[in-house]
Order: sequence, then C-alpha cells, then structure tokens
Amino acid sequence: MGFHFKREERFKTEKTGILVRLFSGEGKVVSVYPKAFNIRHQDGLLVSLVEDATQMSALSLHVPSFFRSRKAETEAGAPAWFEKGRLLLNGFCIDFAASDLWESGPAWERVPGFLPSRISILEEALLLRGRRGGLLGLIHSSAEQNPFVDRASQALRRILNKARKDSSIEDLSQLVGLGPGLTPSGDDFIAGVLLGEEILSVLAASPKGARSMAQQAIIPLKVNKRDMWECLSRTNDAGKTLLFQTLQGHFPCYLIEAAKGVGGADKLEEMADAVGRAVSHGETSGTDALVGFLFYLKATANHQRRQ
Amino acid sequence: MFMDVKKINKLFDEELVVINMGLDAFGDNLKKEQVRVLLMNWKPPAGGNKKLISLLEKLDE
Amino acid sequence: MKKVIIQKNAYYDSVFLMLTAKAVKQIPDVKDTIILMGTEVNLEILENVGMSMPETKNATPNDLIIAVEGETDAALEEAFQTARDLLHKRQRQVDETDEYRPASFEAAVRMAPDANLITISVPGTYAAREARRALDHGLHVMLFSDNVSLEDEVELKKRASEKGLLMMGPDCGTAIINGKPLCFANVVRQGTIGIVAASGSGLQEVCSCIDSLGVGISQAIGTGGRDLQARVGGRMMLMGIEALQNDPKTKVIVVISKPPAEEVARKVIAKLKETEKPCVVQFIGQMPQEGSELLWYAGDLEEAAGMAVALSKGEGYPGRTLFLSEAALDEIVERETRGMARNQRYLRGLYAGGTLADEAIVVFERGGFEVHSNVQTKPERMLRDPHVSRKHTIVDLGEDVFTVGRPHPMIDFSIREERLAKEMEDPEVAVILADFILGYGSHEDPCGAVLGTLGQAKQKAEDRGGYLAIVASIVGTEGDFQDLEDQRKKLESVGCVVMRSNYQAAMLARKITEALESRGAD
Repeated sequence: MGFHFKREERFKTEKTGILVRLFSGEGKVVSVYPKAFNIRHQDGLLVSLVEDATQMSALSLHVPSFFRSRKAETEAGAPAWFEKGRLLLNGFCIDFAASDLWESGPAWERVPGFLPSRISILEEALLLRGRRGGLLGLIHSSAEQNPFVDRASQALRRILNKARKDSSIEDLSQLVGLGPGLTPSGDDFIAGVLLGEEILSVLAASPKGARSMAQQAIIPLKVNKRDMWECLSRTNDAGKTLLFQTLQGHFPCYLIEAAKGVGGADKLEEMADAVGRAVSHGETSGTDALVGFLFYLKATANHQRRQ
Repeated sequence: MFMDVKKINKLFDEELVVINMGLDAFGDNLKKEQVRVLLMNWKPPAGGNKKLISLLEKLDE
Repeated sequence: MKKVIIQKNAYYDSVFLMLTAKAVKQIPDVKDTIILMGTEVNLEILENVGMSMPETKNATPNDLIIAVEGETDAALEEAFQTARDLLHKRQRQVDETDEYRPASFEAAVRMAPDANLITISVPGTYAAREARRALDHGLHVMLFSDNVSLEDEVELKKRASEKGLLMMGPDCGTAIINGKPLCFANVVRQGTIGIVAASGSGLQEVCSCIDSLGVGISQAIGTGGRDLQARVGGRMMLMGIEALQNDPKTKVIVVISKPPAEEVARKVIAKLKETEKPCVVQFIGQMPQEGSELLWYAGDLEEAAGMAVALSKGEGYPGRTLFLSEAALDEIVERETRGMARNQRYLRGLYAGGTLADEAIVVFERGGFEVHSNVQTKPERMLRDPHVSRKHTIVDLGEDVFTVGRPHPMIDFSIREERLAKEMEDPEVAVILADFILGYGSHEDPCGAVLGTLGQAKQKAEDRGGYLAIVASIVGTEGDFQDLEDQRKKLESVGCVVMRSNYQAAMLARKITEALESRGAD
C-alpha cells in the first residue's frame, strides 16, 4: 500500500456521514485547514474530516480527537486509503466502523410547515442578509447583477415556462457548475431547490403536514434529477460532492439548520436570524442555496395558484 | 495659523482601522483590544538600496 | 488588455477566492477581474464577457481561472503577481488565522481600503518616506520610529497640518485614540479628560494617575518629543488642542511637555486660552505660574492629573490626594535610614521613562541638590561617562547611548540590571530610585524581572554593614495585563518602598537624602 500507520494512532469518529461507507480505494488529501481536512476519492468525490459537528454532511466524518492531535503534519498531496469501516492516512487511521450515523435528512417531526406568507418574509430577509457575488440578483433586480445572474435568469425563465405545462422542474442541470466559488453558485442553488422539494415532500408524508398542504392546495413540484446526474461531470469536485448528496436527499448540516430555522420563523427578525446564520456559510454558498430554496417555494406556490 | 482638524475629529467618532507597519507587537496588542488591524510584513523598498530609495522618493513627488 | 492564469487542481476555499479577487481589483489600472473554477458553463460565460483566451480552452472543472482585464501591461503583471503571491501563501498555510501580510504600503492599503490610521515603527532611515506616503494617502500617522531628521519632521508635520491629519511623532512612543492603545500605552478608563503630550512616559504617568483617581480620558494624543522645539513650532500640539477643543466628549484639556522654546510656549498658552474648556499645563521643570480660572499650571505630572480630575468634576483642586501625611513619610524615612552606614549618602536614579527621569531631577534640584545625569541641560552636571555615576545621579536609561543595538529598557531589563550591578558595588550609595512601567508594549513582568538583582543589591549593602533603600513607583492601571497589585507586592517582597506616583517616589528619595545629609552634618 505504500504507507504505514502505528496501531496507537487510531481515531474513532463521533459521527459518520451515511455515504462515506460507499468508498473504497485510493484517495489524496487535497486541502488542510485547522478544523477540516478534505480528501478526494479517486472517483472525484470529496470526503471531509471535521472537528465541528455543524460542518457535517453525508460525506463527512466528525472526528474531533483527530484535530486535537498532531494532524498538522499531514499536507495536501498526502495519500489516503479507503477501506471497509476506516480511512487510512499517513500515520493515522480514522475508524468509523462502529460509529453512529449522522442524520442527514430532515425527519418529518422536526420540520415546521411552510405558509405562503412566510415566502415573502424569507425573500425580505434574504435581501437584507444575503451576500453579493453569486446569485442573489435573481431575487430582485435591486440586488447585484452579474453575468452569472444573467445566465441563470435566462435558464430559470425557460424552466418556469416548462414547469407550468409539465408540473415539474426540468433541465435544472443548466445551472450545474455556474458561477464563482469553490462550490459554484449554481450547484448551491440546486441544493437549495432540492432542499425545498425534500421539505415539502416530507411534510406531505406526515398527517398534519398533508392536511395543511391540502388546505392550501399546495402540490409540490417534482424536480427531475436524472439530467443532473448525467451532468455531474460539468462541475468540479466540490460541486459534484454537494450534488451527489443532495440528489439523494442528504443535505449538509447548515442547510438542515437553515430549513428548520426558516420554517419556524414567524417574524422578519427571526427569519433574518435564521437567514443570517445560513449565509455565513462559505462565501456565497449559504445565500445561493437559500435563493434556490426560495425559488422552489415560489414556483410551487405560483403553480398551485394557477391551477 | 489656520488649522482644519475636521478629519481628526472624524477619526474620534470612527472605528479605528489600523495598518501596522513595523513591530508586530504593536499590531498584536491592538488585536487584543479588538481593533481591526492589518499586520504588515514590511520590507525595505528597493531591497534596502539607499540610492534607489532616494530615486523612488524623487519619483513620489 | 486581458490575460488569464490557470492553476490546475485547485481547492482554495471560496472566502479566500473572494479576498484574492478583492485584492486584485484594488490595483490601479485594473478594469475587472473574474476568478472562478473552469467548469463548462463558466468557460462559456468567460467567452460571453470577452475574457476567454487560448489558455482557457483546455481548462477542466477543477482548474482555477483568474482572468484580468487591465489598462496597462504593468497593471496586469502586478495583478498576477498579487494573485500568485496570495495563492502560494495560502497553499502553504495551515493556520486559518494567519492572514496574508503585505510587504509594501501599496499592498497594505489595497487589502485595507478603509484604514484610517497607520502605526509606523520601521527603522528611521525609511520611516519618513513611509509616513509621507501614508499622509498622502489620507491616513493619520503614529510614528514610533526615531532617528528621523528634524528637517523631515518639520516637513511631515507641515504636510499633516495642510491635510488636517494627525502626525504623532517621530519618536512618539505613546498614544491612546478612541480608547485604543497605540504602541506603549496603558489601559485607561474612558472619560472626559483629553491630553496632548510631547512625552511618552509623561503621558503614561498622567493617565495612570487619572485612572487611579477613578476618572478617565477621552483621547491621549502624542506629538513626539521635539514638537515644541522652535523649528517644529508646536504644530502637532496646536492641532491636538484644536481637535480636543472641538471634541464634544472632551471637557478638560491637559498639555504635557518638557520646557518648550519660548515662542512656542507662548503660542501653546495662547491657544489654550482660546479654548473655552478648562486646561492644565505641565511643562516639566518650569516653575508653576499663577494661572486663571480656566488655565491651571501644575508643578508636576501627578499634580497635573489631580488638577485635571478636579476640573473634570467642576471642583476646586483640593491638593494632592495621593500623598501620604508628613508623619507617615517621616516614619518611612526614619525606618529606611536607620540601618544605613555612615558613608552612605548618595542617590542613584535608574529610569526607563525619560520624562520621569526629568521630573525626578527637577524634584531634587528644587530641594537644592546637585544632580548629575546623562540628560542634564547644565554642562557641569552632565556625566562625563554616562555609564559611571557621580555623587547624586539620575540616569535616563532609554537614551540612545544606552540603547544602541539593544531594546528599550521598558522591554529589556538587562540595561537596568547592569547599571544596578555597578551601583551596588558603591558603598556610598544610599538610595536607589526607579520607575516600573506597565501596559501594552512593556515587559510582561517588569518588577519580577529585576527582583533578583534588587534583592542582591540589598544584600550587598547589608553585608557591608549598611542598608540600601530602594524607592519605586509603578506607572500602570488595574486594567493593564501585568497585574498592578501583583507587581507592587513583588517589589515590596524584597523591601522596596512603592509610592503611588513618580513625584512622590522622588520626594521620598529626596527626604531620605536630606535626612542623611543632616545626619552627616551632626
């Protein structure tokens, strides 16, 4: 295998992302930060080791003990090896065989309902707290315009036209890989759309939620995922990693918290707080995801009205 | 002597945003007091060559 | 003109990418920059905005593309150099809290376009040029560096006053602006007393006394030691007074300096009289004059603080509140001189703070003593060799002759220890007088650092059948990180007498010396 590790240097994970166990084979460390490591599997997906549980995702390992140790010796470029139940790095072994899984989908009892009135408060909060540089300009022309917003805007107009006829969201793959950021804005946007779809379908699966939706005649739009699966190669590793999870209904911790916060907010202040926490993620990732989330909710609400 | 000190009084009302050129300790101390400070890794211009520096000064004018 | 660089297989986080874009955009003559990953759709967009280049055709999604449009080749070159430097640094850094540290003034103002003040402590040879550029850029300047020529100082202050900016220095060691410590400074309560000082340790002493009286300061502006010399004309002092006059938070103005050139003193006093606020003046060494209702002359630094506090409360000055009763003082004098040998008679003052040394010299001279020093103005009292004391001597260990190639005695105690080691060999020494300065910039344990040597000195005197009195004052506040109480206790643990201000310490040392003189006369 080309590298060794001492038996003593074993770190057990506190929580394991549900999709990590899929991996086997070679990998490479691609980035090292004080509280996070990113390892690229040979298939092009990134698995992250995190110190902080709030940074978890379905492709992460929560292993604070590793960060308390001398992990700083590992540099980007170091080799890694995935095998059943563990990840081997030069000098250490991250053991997740017996670990608890991290819950990466919003369970129905934790998701509050979404009322149409909350959509406008969410939009206001996003205009107040959202960060520029990505797709915030899609919400309102008063927010920043840039070539990415223009491109996305054209694509989304076409998508909405189609959705009216088909009652589904097609060709969202036009946004894959679009825009700035290590994870391109378009990918974050898509994650937000998928989050919206997931939350409404989870809501519909609960008796209380189903009743509420029936009362308001809300019929969630279906998002066609197949063309996005086919287009994963159009984006980079970070974008691919995000889409890979979200297309399967697994969302990173910060987005789940955002959905809970936004769903539970009754007033603009509470909404702004929840939005504020979400947009502090990355540079524009949080903002772009919420823009996508808002897009989905508005599309569904408008669709329902037209019927 | 006419003195316009508006900018000084403006500074008294603003948040300090400091560039520290030189000893790190001075910048670190400001950080401890929650001041926004940018520490420099100052190097003499023109590689410390005095002749070049005086030429640069003439160009500055 | 446009140019593109590509970094293959890049995993830089988005925040960093945004900061890089920001830094590049600030470069003059750069029209636009786009930084993104080389995905299919991003390449199309680059094409649409006219930033596509041959190099980008082969880019893959994991490649980082930096596209720049600039007016000149030089701008493009600088843009890419900046980007490359940042990327290179980021690649090697593991510590997230390490920020990129610019090496030039231009780079610094690009990274901090909203900066309003710069602290400069680079070698004197370069300091003036950097200060000039800072002023031209509209920054207020704290110029700690010394070894800047008088001509440069005059020119810098002229420029600053034309632009209405602060030029604190050169050789300005202390300032407190908006409650924040610049260079050497104590943590002082915020309040209504504004100070302009041409003296670092003088400023610290006054702030320290004000704080110990439960009151605070609004601003403490340093001007640098030479500001009140004739050629500089008190320019920064006058600007500082004007600013404090306009400052609604300042109710009292205090001015501190060594005795200024006569015409400068007149200008300063005239300026103070113009302000509608009560003022206190302390020109060290100058005999206090008859003041007026709004302009009080202090006899020393501690008194300046006391007067300012009284004025800030709208009260009359009740006299010293930090002073011990005569009886208490006499008791200390008796106790300290009791065990001294017949031949012990001299004072040795070992000071880190220049102004504090000056003040001590003034206290002794007012008592009729002849004091030798390395900073004496009277030629017959100048020490022939600054390293060798003569009779009553007070030395300023911060002076150039002692600090060549070594850190200032506020930070490094070896200079003081070496001198103390010499003094302790002299059987005629009766009392050592010293200052200990706390606060930002100072040593983390000034009293602890010399405790061993102080104890040794006491022991040596005892071994000779005598007794060495050590009198000290600590310039500091309860807010300082060195722990004022703890510092005091440390000194007291080896038998030092710690007084509440430099003036009082000097007075006590003088009383001891007087007692010895009159004993000798018996």
